[in-house]
Amino acid sequence: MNERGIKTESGLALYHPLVSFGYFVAVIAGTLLFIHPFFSYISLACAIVFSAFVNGKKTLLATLGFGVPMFAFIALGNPLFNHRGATILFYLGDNPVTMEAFIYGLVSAGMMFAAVVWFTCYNTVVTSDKFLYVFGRFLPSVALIVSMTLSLIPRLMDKVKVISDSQRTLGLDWKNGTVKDRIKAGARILSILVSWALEDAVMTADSMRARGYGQHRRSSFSVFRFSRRDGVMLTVITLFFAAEIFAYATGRGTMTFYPTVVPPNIGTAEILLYGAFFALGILPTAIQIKEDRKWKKLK
Amino acid sequence: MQKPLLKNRRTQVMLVLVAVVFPAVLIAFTLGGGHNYALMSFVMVVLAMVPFLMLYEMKKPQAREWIPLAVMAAIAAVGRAAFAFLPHFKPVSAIIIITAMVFGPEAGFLTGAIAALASNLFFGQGPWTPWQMFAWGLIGFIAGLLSRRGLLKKKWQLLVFGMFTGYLYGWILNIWSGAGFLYDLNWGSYLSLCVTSFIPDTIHGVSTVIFLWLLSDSWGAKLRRVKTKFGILAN
Repeated sequence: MNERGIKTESGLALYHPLVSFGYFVAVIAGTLLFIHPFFSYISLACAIVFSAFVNGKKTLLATLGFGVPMFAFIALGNPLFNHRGATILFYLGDNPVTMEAFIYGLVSAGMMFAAVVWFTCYNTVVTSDKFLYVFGRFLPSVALIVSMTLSLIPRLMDKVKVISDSQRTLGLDWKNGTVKDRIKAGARILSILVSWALEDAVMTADSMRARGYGQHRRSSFSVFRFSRRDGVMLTVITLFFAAEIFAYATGRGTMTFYPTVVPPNIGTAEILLYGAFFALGILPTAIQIKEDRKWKKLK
Repeated sequence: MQKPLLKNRRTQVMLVLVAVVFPAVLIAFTLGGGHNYALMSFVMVVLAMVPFLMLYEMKKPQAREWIPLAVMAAIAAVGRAAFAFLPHFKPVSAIIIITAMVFGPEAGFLTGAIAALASNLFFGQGPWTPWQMFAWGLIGFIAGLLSRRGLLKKKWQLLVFGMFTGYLYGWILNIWSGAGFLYDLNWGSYLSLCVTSFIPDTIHGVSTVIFLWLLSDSWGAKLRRVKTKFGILAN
């Protein structure tokens, strides 16, 4: 946010949509690809640090408020649902609870937690116009429907308010009364909304046709230019992504959990792999810090 | 429009793609080894949507044809947010089914997938988004197919189908829960997930039945009116 309270983009968000979208594909794929404690927790740590920069502390706390219970649910749920493993800790009823299942639960819970935090960063960095820009190249019609739907939602919400206000003057309030009354009143509001919205939609379609929709390629509201800087960054991300896939295909970064946990091998290749993954995870934070410094210097 | 289903070229292509894409990914991952169900299922569900979307793209749709679908997807999203005060009680499936009955299976898939994507702007995007897109898309697709065959004409048929979609949705999302959270995704663990989700799925199914009961006649009429008045999707 700048001093006027207008949200300004910085860091990764300033790159071309292909770059920022590609970054999240690479980092989330890497997180989900390796069921391995180092990967899960490196990813989680990087995601939380980046989230603190890009989403701010308040949003990060809200994310953690959702993520920590989910983490606990998965970490505890796995040993309860899954009884594989040789080291039995105790019996719950007739079912053994094993250490291996518990450790696996901790790893996969970290992985899911990391994925959720990365998604919150994604939502901030890759705004819906960028997402549509990326998909508009492959699926132009679908992207257009999505963008139309997204723009309709706030308009429909306003309309819902108008309708429900006027319904309330008739004594039909969907916010009060028994559940049955509320459902009926809610359904009636939606029905009124449909009548209005459909008629309006076809008018929109005709006016779009009158303005030449479908004649040429669609132009977009935001202008994105693919510069050299974007090319460099996209190459870097692609290299990291290729390294992940190569490592996975050659069996590195996999860990054995059952029947007994085999501690991860730590050789030169593994250290390189973990290092590369950390570099990928911390990349957007590094860009952010570098730009913040430059900005302060120039100020 | 009343062409026999399997003679419709696009439907044929779509069925073949779905039949090929799913097993191909499954085999590739099985050969790759490991138990990486989370990623495997994620890739699969994304790939499964590609043929539906590509085929829609190939039609080069006119604005009039798809804008009503955008409207219905947006209304489904608004409805989901409006009824968020009742857990698992969603009008989304009912709205998608009604749309699919009027506009056909492909339109049904698109409406369902977009409704899920758009409504997650309020509920949060995550690894579950493609699953919800696929589940609701599939519900729309099946509703469109059944309706073309005249199997949803009677009210009881529609309501039974509506109840069933509550479970179908839950079962599809359970694949994600199982793949994401459990090491062993096998029939046993999957079944135990389905048992756990029985009550939420039932509530979802009942809500779909209630909304179909309340809305299907009047909304169906409204949609058909718009369709006739403006000559939409009359291929």
